[in-house]
Amino acid sequence: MKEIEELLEKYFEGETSSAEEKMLREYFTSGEVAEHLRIHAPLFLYFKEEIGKENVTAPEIKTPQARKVLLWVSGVAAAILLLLGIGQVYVFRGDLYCSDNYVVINGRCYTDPHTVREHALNALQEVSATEKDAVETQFRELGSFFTDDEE
Amino acid sequence: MRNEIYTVMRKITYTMACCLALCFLLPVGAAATELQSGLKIEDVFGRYGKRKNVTMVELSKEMLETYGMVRYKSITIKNDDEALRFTRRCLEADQKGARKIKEVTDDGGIVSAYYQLPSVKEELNRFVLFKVNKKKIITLVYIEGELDSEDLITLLFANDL
Repeated sequence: MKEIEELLEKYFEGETSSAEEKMLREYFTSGEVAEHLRIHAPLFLYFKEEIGKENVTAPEIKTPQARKVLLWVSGVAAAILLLLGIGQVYVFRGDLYCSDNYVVINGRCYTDPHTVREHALNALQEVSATEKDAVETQFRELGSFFTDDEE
Repeated sequence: MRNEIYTVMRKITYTMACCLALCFLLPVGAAATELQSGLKIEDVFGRYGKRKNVTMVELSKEMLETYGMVRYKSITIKNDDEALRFTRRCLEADQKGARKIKEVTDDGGIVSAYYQLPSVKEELNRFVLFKVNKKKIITLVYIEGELDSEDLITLLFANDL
């Protein structure tokens, strides 16, 4: 009895080990509690019930095998996501950072509106210069035709 | 405690699965913004767009509104014979069914061309402009918009592009 009293004192001072707490729970839920200690019985009864509840729900917990599978799947999913993320940055770098208006020069993307506009205009001017070139070429060819005739 | 861990892990797995699905859908969304109707010249932009000695431009939305365009894409490739052969092959494939506004050939190869491609949407005209100059600089332009061929010519030869 004295041992229980000492343990109880230790318990309230927060110095008991889990084995000692178990001993206390067993004593107070045994139904043979000393009269002067019965006041503490509901507390340990409550703890025992709570522990019992946890044990009841334990079978619902997945087996270590299922846990391993879940961990493994999570790991694989995380790895795939990481790879895809890196892949997107490399493969779709242009598309990601060059959304609406952009110019890619030597593989590097620029989104400054003035630079973009300038290069767009350059390309249009280049194709529009065709007409002038073609006419000049035709005149040159025509000119050489007459020169050849004179010779 | 263990139950909580499982719940959290299940949530993480579910979130990851959703993210994974999104990752697979992203390229599909990106592909939807590519040139319409699977044009062959699309491959020119895709193949050479990010290479050295290449300048690729893409414009859309507000930058094009004043020109009656909804899409502009151009690529300039410097001194690349393989790219020239490839671009010409793509142009030959895409010009089928297209209206030739202008085409200049030299030694059997297209030197410059303006094509109006068949429309795939009402009030949406599509043009392909191409030129390879004496310095072997290839310029390929794709334009999409409400503008017609006359508007395009006017635009091309306007001094204040």
